[in-house]
Amino acid sequence: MQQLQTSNSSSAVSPAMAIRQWLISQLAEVLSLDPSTIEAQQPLTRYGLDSIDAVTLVGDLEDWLDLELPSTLLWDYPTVEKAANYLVEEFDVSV
Amino acid sequence: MPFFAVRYGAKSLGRWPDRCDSIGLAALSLVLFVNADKTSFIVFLFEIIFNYLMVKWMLGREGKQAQWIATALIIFDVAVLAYFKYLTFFIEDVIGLTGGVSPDWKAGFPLPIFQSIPPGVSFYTFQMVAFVVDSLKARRKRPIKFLDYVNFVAFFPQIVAGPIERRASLLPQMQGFKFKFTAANFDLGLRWLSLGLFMKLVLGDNLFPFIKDLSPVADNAWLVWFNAFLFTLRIYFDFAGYSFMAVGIARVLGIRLTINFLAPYTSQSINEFWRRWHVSLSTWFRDYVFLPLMGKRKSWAAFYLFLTFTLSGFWHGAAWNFLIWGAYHGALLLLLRYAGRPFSRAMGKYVKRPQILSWAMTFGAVVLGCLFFMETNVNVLLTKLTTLVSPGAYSLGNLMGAFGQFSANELVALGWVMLLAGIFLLLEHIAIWQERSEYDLLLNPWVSRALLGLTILLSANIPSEFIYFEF
Repeated sequence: MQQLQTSNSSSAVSPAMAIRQWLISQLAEVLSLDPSTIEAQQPLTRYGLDSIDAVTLVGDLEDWLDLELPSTLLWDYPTVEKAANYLVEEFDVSV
Repeated sequence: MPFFAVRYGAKSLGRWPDRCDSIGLAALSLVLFVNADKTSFIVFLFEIIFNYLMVKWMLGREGKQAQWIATALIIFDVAVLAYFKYLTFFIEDVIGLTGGVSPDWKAGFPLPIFQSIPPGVSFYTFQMVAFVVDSLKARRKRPIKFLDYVNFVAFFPQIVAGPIERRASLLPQMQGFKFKFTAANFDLGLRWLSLGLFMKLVLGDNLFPFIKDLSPVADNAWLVWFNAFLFTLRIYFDFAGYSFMAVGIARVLGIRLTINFLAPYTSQSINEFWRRWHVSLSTWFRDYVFLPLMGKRKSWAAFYLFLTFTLSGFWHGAAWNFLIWGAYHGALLLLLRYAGRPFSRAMGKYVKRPQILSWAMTFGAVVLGCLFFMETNVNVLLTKLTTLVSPGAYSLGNLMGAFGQFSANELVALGWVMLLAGIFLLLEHIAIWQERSEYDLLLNPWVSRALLGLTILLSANIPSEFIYFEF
């Protein structure tokens, strides 16, 4: 079972929420966006995510979670919410 | 028709085992193939049997052994494709650059040389290769029945020009296949078929005669742009028309195929265009070329993306212009990524509706790309490109000359086709703005009937070949 360290360790954050927050902060950084403008239910391509971003983001996610993930993760699960839920269900990630 | 009549009679008498539907579908697909081209059919039959036996062997092995079998099979499949499609190009245009190829090399070559490629070979080879990889990665390595595999690869609506289907989506539909002639399938299937027929026979085929061969003189920039613009429209209506006919016919039989086009000319970026254009090929290259080539080298993603697009261009045909076309789109994606984002942010500050400008720039870039795609003669292509960058080629005289090439009747006919094409594309745009699915408005039952009526009335007298049958 994978253990996550969240930025806000004092408060209890569900694994899915922790992954969501991480994905949103990474997306905001990569795409130079305000994190508050990124909605978890919207397709990532709507924010300008391209193929190169998609594979590099999965690479960073692999490093963060110390897991081997499918390269097509963000194509198969194209929203922050779907990707986070998939990771929790498939890889049993916990906080 | 006799097959379905016999089936109906036997089924009424309760003497039609379900398995006969699978056999009937396979027979239908193979008979249509053999009638289309006997030589190609023999090649196809050999490939399908060989692939099936190899996959069966692979599924019975594990680890490295299974990987070696898969690798050998993929090399074989690609080699067969290369032989039919690229041999002449490789010898004459690549080795020929060194000047070391005799003009009558074909006479001394140990294998037969084909003037044209067997129909469907580019598409079914890719489907077979994807099947090998997906079978290797499959968690459950259950044996596959030969008949199901034949129906998976040879399914007649999509074998010649796709969509390139995947194991996970099509194979389960072929396992224990039964014709599902339900009212819902007929209704939706015929609506897709009407849409496809209208796109191909009314829009694509009626645009075709207006696309002029400008070689060897292509000194009118207006005409070069206009031809590329017409070709851009035609290739979409022709190829998407074919794909939607395949979707419609398959749906009538009870099979769901991939929707290969998602209103690509509504795209506001080249990225978006490639998510909407020839979806099954784009995702094939992503999953079986881009990602495996790159592997863990994610910092090289840009290079591999460019390489993948160049290769995807080359898949379209054995000629330099297709390579250039692929490289052009790869370069556009990189340009958009590294220069387009700051430009887009700046544009958003000063332009009230940047979406319209983004759409126009994307469509313009696609039209320019079609110039590379449509011109297989590199010398003529260079002449056209020179014309496009020559200010003098945009003279008023040339503009008048561009229109002067058509008679009054031709202008009226072209005007009508353009009007219909414009309305068609506008309905796609409206569907996107309203956040509906791309062809929701065009698949509306009343619109569908209107499209069928227009197809009966306005189909081109001389239908043109499907463009993608060449590939």
